[in-house]
This record gives sequence, structure tokens and C-alpha cells, in this order.
Amino acid sequence: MGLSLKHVSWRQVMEVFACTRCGECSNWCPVYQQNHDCSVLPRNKAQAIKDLLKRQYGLWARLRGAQSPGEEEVTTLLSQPLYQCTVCGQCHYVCPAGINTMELWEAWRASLVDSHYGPLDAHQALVTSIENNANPWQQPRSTRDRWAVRATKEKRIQPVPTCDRIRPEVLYYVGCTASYDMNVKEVAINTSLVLQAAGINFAILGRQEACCGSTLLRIGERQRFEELARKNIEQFNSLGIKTLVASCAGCYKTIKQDYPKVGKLNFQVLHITEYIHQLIQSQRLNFNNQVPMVVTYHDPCHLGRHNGVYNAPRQVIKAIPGIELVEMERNREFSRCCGAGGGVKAGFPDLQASMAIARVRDAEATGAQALVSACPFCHQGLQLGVNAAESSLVVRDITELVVMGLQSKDEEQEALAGAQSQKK
Amino acid sequence: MLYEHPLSFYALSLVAVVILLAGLATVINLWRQGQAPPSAQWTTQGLLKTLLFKVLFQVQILRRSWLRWIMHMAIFWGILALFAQTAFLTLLQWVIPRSTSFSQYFFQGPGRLALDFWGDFWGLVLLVGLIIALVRRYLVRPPQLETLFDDAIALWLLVLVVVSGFVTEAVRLALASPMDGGGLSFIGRPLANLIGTLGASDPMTWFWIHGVTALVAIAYIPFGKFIHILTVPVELAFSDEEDREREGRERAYGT
Repeated sequence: MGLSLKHVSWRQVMEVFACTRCGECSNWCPVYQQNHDCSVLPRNKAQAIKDLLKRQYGLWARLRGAQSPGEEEVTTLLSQPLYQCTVCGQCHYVCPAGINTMELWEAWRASLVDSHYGPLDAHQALVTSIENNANPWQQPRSTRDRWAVRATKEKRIQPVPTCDRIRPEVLYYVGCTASYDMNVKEVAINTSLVLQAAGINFAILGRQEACCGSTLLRIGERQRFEELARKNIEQFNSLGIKTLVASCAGCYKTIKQDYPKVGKLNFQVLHITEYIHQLIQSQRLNFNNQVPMVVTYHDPCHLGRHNGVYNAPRQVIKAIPGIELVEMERNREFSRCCGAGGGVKAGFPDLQASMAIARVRDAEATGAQALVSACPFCHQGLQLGVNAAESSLVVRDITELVVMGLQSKDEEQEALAGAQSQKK
Repeated sequence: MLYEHPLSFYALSLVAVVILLAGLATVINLWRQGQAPPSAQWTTQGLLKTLLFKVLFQVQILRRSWLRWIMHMAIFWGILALFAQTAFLTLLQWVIPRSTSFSQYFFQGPGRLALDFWGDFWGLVLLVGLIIALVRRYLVRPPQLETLFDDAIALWLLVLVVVSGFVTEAVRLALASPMDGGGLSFIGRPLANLIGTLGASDPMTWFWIHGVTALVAIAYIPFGKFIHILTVPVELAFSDEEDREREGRERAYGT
């Protein structure tokens, strides 16, 4: 079967012909730097697509009939290299032709799915789980708000209302990772604490919250993504909110950039770092606690390169008294991907681990005590890297630092005591 | 007049243009198999910025490597300037009446010296760019370069065009009288002197070698690496606008 172009635009077909094969991408690609497999390089992926397309639609195909590639050929030439890519977007920023690789690789993954060459077997479980449980973690939907219930019981946060009880101005879209991962739920708790400290009229969707569909889109399941996105857009629009805040960079990118291609949104979408920055500017958040710590900031790909949000998180970190921010050599648009995104963590866990270790080594070189990020998924990935590298670095989400700056030591101790007594 | 401007050459030029157009039609038809992309929000100011900085001065290459920037700028501007000269000479030869003062200025007046210098200067610029490319690809061999047939043929075609161009000019000058131009041909003239001592060959042989390789290069545009001459400016027009939009949003959060 030939490659389907149902979800590929003419621009994206042209883009593979715009690659000059200069090889600049090979100096930067974080995947290639770990596995040294040339086929994963953008240059080689573009060449492979070009060769397959020419056989299907080129002059020779017109004269002698189209030649469809075999499954094994597509798997070797295209599926494996495309799915080993985290779609971090680094290649776009160094490509002299400016090829929008962030969209390009996802479009060609959709082509693989449409042509029944994708996704990978390892991704099938994620797809099934999203369809059955509305999350990729194979967790029941009924426990999606457990983090909030527990944190409230432990008196760590005030009760977080759900949208069916109040009409909020702000919807905090928690996302699957912060909702279900025991080690990352702190992101959801800290985000709630920050919003409560600023007195924001906000709510969560609780058990009514469904996966944003980012995973589906990244692995090429575009049709399934569009169906899910349509339902979510309808739900969000019916809430009458002014702002949707996401603490996950992947959810943020999906809702802000990808949803408008499916349907119109009647609210603005902000990442939590952008929102906190606004709250600090308007003096609704005031820090009264010193946080003496040297930290380095890891730009999540979906927040940085994909959305251009580099300054807001840095401004937030700098606003916290006592914190010293040191930059890694590769930062902002050149930030090295932690390897967690694009379906790589599920499809190629060893590759993800080595990418995360490389990023942890970058952070260690700065002499920082903590590696800070602004995405639960990166948090998960980087934590894996810290463990694998046996590093002394502590991985923290930016909201945790904000809470540390807001709460005095006494309040922190009080919250901790509350949590411990609940556990007993 | 040393050259007869044979009709067969113009017939061949026509064939090259037909192949070029047919190839372009095929490749554009291939792209059109894809769906319509989301419409871009272009502004005239944005497009001019892209044209100036990214297409004409290629700052994006300079940001990565000054050597590669010199190499690509030399090849880009060399080809552009020599193509412009060829187009201009064709106009002088076939469109503008020989009796006009404009035509006289370039055939017999000081304009001729300017054309001699223009051709040699930009030919040299192109040659420098190509030598850097050859040295990088075949001697230095940086790990980022991978050489396929398409990479090699594009490079060697250009080398053949520029080298045969200089030799053609030199043979012409060697056989012509000193009054017949070449006063400011600072490469062609010394080369002509060298050829003169070796014994100049038939100028038409070199005319054909140069002409045919140039036509092959033109006809080859849609089928290989040269297609980037068309695709890269289009892609930059799209992606630069998207990058500017991202940067615009970011400015709201300071630096």
C-alpha cells in the first residue's frame, strides 16, 4: 500500500523537497546524539519520504505505473525513524531552509497510520486506554480527581471545586500525568495552591476531565484525536470560562495550537507559567519566603520551541526571593529534549532513558541543586534520568518553587504535619 | 565575430526549457497530491524581511557557520549574477537593435569592459564557493555531510559550467584580436595568454561544452538538489511568519 496523503498538506509534501541535505540537523538532533542511527536524522527521513513519493507519484511512476513499497521497506525506511523522533522541534530551529519539522513529522506519522503502517505496537495500549479510560495510563476515570480529594483530606489544599458546582472564570486543566502519576501529582496540588493563594475563581473538571488527546496526535492517530478534541472543545466552550490554564506543556500545546484547527475556542489558553507571571505582575501573588537554592531550568519542547514560551518561566523563577537561576549550555530554542515526548517513552524506553541522562548531565554541569521544569511529562522523564544517572540533582516543577516562595516555613510544616496525621 | 550562434544551440535551449517546465509540472503535481495547508497570515513587511535576510543574505546559515555562509553566498550570488549577465547579453543580441546607442555602449563602448569584469568577477566568486564546497565534501568530510549521487551531480555540474565558462572565454580571447575585448577580463586574459602559448583549439568546441552543461544544469533543476532554489524561499515565507508570531507572543513576557 502506498503512502496516504489524507492528513498531509501540499506544503508538507513540498517540505521534504526543500531539504538541502546540509546535515546541520545531525549536529543538534538529541535522538541521533544518543543512538547514532542516521535514519532518524531529519535529512534522511526527508530523503526516505521523497524516494517513496517519487515511486508513487513521480515522473517514472506516471510513465511506468506507481510502485507501492512493501511493509518491511516502509518500516525500515520510515516507521522506525519517524517513531524514534520525539518531535522536539530542534531541527526546525537550526534548519537553513526553516522547514517546519514540528508539524511535518506528525503529519507523516498520520500518513503512516492512514496507510496502516503505524502506530507502533507499544502505542496501541495507549490508544486503547485513551478510548476506554480517557487517559493513556490505563487508570479508571473514577480516580482522576483522587489527587484533589486526598490533598484536601490531608489539609494540604482547600477543597478544589469542580465545574459542575460553580461557574469559574478559570478552568485548571490538570491533564492525565499530574492526575494519575503518584510522583507527579504534586504538580496538580501545587498549581491549585498557587491559584488559591492568588484568590482565583477557578475549578477543575474532576472526573469529567478527559485526556486532551496529545498522545493520539503525536503518534499519528489524527482521526481519533479530532473526535476527542471535538468533544473536549464542546465541553470547554460550554463552561463559560475566560481562561483555561494548563500545567502540562503537552496539554497546553494541544489545546492552544491543535484544537483551533478542529474547532473554535471561546476562551484564552495559558500555560501555568504565563498565568503565574501575570499574577506576579498584577501583584496578586506576593512572595514572602526566601528560597535559597541554585536551580537550572529545562525548557519543555512543547512550551519552548513549539510555543515560544521561554521568558515567562524564567521571570517567575527570578521573582522568587533567594533563588539563583543558572542556565544550561543548551537552553531556550536549543534546549536538549528529555526524550519523553512524541511517543518515544512508550515506544523506545531505553532511548528515552539515555536522552534523559544526557539532559541530567547538562544540568549537573551548571552546578545547580535542582533541575526545574514546567511540564509533568518532562518531570517524569527527567526523574527517570536522575535515577538512571544516580545524580544528586532534585527534579522540581516550577509550581513547587512558587509554593515554596509563597508559604512560610511554619505553613509548610503545618501542611506537612496535616499530611502525616492523615496518613496515620 | 567568433561565434556563429548556431540555431541548433537555440533548439537545444528550447529542449532544456521544455524539460525544465515538464519536470516542474510533474513535481508540483506531486506536491498537489497533498491537502490545502492552513492559510498563512502574510504581511508585505514580513515577506520583505524574509526575502532580504533569509533568501538574499541567508543570515540563518551565518548563524550556524561563517564558512558555509561564505560558500553558499558565493554560489548563490555567483549564479544569480552570471545568469543575469547571460540574460542581458541575450537581450543585447536578439532584442535591442544593434544601432541603438545603448547597444553600441555595450558592444563597442566602455560597457564592454564592465561586462568583461562582471563576468570574470562573479565567475571567480562562484568558483571560490564551489572550491569550498568541494574541499568540504571530499577532503575535510565533516560528519554532517553525506554524499549521495544527487549531491555529487549538482556540485560537479556547477564546477563544469564555471570552469568551461572560463576556458571558453579564454579561447575566444586567445583567437580574437586584442581590440576585440577582454580588457578587464582579469582571469580570461591571463588564461588566454596561456592557451595562446599552448595553441588555442576551436572556440566552438568549448562553446558547446559550456553551453550544453549549462543547459543540462537548467533542465536538471526539478529532478534533483537544485529544486531547493524554488522550495526553500517558499518554505521560508511560511515558517518565518510562524516564527515571528511565536516571537511576538513571547515579547509580552520581557527578556
